[in-house]
Amino acid sequence: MTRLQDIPVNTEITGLDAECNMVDAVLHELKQLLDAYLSSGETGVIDIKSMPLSATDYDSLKQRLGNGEISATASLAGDTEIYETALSGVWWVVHRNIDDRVLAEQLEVGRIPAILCAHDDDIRVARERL
Amino acid sequence: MNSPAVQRAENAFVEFIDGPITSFFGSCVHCGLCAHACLFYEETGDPKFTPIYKLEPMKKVWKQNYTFWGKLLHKFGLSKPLTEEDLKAWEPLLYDSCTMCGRCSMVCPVGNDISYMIRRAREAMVASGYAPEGLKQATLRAATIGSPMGIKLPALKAKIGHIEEETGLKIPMDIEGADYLALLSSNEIMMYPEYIGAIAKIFKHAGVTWTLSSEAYEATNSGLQIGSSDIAGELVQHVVDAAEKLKVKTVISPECGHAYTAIRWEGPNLIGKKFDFKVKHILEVLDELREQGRLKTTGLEEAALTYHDPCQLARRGGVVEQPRRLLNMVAADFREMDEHGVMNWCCGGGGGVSANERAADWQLIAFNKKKSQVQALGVNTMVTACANCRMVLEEGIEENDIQVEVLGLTELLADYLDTK
Amino acid sequence: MAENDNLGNLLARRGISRRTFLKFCTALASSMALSPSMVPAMAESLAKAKRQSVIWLSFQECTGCTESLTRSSQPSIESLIFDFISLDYHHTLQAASGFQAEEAREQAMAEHKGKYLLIVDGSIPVAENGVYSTIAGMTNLQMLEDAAKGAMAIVAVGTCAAYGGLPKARPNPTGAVSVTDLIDDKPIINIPGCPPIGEVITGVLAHFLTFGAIPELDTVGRPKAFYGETIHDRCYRRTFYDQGLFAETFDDEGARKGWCLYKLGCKGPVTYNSCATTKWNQETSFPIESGHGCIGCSQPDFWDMGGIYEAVSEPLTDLRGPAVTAVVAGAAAGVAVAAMNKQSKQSAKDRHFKVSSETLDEELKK
Repeated sequence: MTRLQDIPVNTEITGLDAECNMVDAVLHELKQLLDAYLSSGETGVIDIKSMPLSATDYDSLKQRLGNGEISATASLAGDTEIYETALSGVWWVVHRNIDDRVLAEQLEVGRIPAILCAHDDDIRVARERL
Repeated sequence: MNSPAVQRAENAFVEFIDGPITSFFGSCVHCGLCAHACLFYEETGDPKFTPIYKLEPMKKVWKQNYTFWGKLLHKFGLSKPLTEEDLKAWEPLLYDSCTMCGRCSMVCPVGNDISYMIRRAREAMVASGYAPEGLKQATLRAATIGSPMGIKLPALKAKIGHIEEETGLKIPMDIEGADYLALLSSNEIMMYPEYIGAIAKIFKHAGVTWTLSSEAYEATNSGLQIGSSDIAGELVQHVVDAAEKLKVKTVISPECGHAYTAIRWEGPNLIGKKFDFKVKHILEVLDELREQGRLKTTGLEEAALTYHDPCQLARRGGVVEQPRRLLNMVAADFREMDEHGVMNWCCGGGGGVSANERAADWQLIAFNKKKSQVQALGVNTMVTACANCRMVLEEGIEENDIQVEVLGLTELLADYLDTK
Repeated sequence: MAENDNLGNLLARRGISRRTFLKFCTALASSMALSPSMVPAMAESLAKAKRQSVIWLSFQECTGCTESLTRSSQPSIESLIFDFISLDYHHTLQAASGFQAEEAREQAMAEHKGKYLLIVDGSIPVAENGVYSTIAGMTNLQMLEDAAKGAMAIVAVGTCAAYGGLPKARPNPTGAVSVTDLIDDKPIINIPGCPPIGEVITGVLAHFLTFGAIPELDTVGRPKAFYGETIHDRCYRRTFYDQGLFAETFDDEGARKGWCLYKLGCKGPVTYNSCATTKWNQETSFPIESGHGCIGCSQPDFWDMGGIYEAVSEPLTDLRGPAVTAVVAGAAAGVAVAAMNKQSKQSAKDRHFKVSSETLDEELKK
């Protein structure tokens, strides 16, 4: 417990850019999503963009997850970058629009990110074209 | 039925709880940061000295009158009413352990001006009769004689006679159309009359005209300290009348802290009228003269010295740079205390504490902060610009038996005037 | 486009793949704070959504809300949805004018009775029977009452429609009121803001199209997905607040270092909106990011809550805790409370006990 005398009158600028322990929280959640996938085959997603990550947090998370074997770029009204992290089954997905603005940034857990899969409706259109 | 004292207190609380105060109470997050800003808490470690806690009676009334649940509970008789015991218990907290130095207001993370709240809470205390006897007597003397120390005009004239003899300068009285009307504080007249000689010398040197008024020579405002806007307003009115009668453009507040707050900041609000003249602290006037090249000094004080910021001047009044510029004209070795300017520590005797004999012990305990600050610097001279600070500091120095001399900045400047 | 055409077909015609659509939906879900796991189902459902008739009524307003909506970047789910709906009446955007425009409105109201979505921006003046604002000779009040009857739901876009807005600011000469003040028999979604964020407007429309129902609302009628958290809680400067680091003026060191603007009057702590996450102008920034505090524009009565540069004092509208009761009781109760406070203060002044030399003297003699 913080005692009254431990609360400073003058605050000092310290550790503003420091990690806020968000990285550990994300890694912990990934662990749970991997467990869920292994036990039930259920895929999972973590929305990175809506998390209050500091720049340091973000870089550190990227570094901790590393790069895996696969990377892909999808042209979907703006580029979508997908790469597998050093952890198999954990994918880093960044959706951008035509102006290169990030629309969504996610960590997906599963064999393959949903965005890479073709949709039946589109396959049907393809069939009609032949 | 409540006792008349409680009724009066309750009524005054409601009257003086304004927009800012309701929002201050509403936004207080109970963080306790104000405790560490308070001289009395810092030197004793006693949680009852936490500034916001000193406002509990006022908070009670606020709750019952301005909050949804408070009103509801009050209606059903479920809230604790304000009692005579509350007033009795909080009187020392509001008067003896608060100098209205305003340091707590600086650190409050949600911006609550606690000092302002104390000032207004005292309105209710004095209305209910729960104010310290010493302060009541001083206020009575101020209201009847015009001076909290009871200095009547003949006594002032006698002092002036001595000064005129010493300096060989005429001390002007009731001169119509002078540039400045100088006000004095009781302490200056009684204990530090050198101040009067000093301004006479400086003004002659600078070539400006000035005067005292036989009808309003004191700026000390006990009404503000005891928390009575009625009396504070009356005292301000005396000065306004004198200034208008003598047709001066500028009134000079003396080396006194609360006098400055009273006349400069609260004044027009107290009498409900804009002043036709300007009010400046003597240091502001001197700094202006310096800037205009009309204040020239020669030689330097060699002894290491520091400057004690009077709270009302620096923190509440914004006069921070002026004394430093002035000091640098005459001091060879000016050292700043660790916390100075707007974050200075109070001498321990402002806001009516020094006039309240009951508070003498607490005042001395509070002095320890200043003592350690000065000793850390290793200086033996402390300059200030408030006669009350000066007196309180000297009392502390004497009691602690340490070797420190206290000087008024105006006198120091007068000593180094270039008279060629 | 045929009546029972769906969004999926529109996509196909535009050459937009379902992958791209999934991407849009992902972005939408992220901005609505919906669980990312819902995205595939949402995309499926939205693709099947039928074309929706929308009637947009503009009353006492500045067209800022429409501007905000039409400024969203292209192509996006926002523009897509905006293209998809059948905007049957919007007097700023429609090509028709005069009686033809009004005819289009009446026709849509008759044809889609009970099924159209009514969007309102601007407050409705009710003083003097509503003569302060009329369209084609009809008062706003009359037009709203008529159009509301056949609406499936009403969306009040902007603070004016949602809470009365600037026209309602004291002394409110036109007697401006909000949609909720007049209509009580239809579901109403408030999307306040001055203006509201374009993405939020379309996000709500998308939600409506996807789920066929109105989203979960807070006590003042705002979708929780976008108005669930305060600006302050999601502000990137929050860390400075927590550390007690505040800008004291707009040009001091703290301001330059980007410290918390609380003391400069930022209303972030009491304002529920998603500016801090969704941001403005193609996600470029939001007011606090440009160095100015939040003015609280998505809160009821923000314009009468004291100065923009005064530190948050009396809470604007606290949606949690005891104040909820007061909010539900409505604005009238709030006015009454304020009046009571004023009254007790005045009577306290009347009963003022004057401290004088006589009273002090008497006390000292005791």
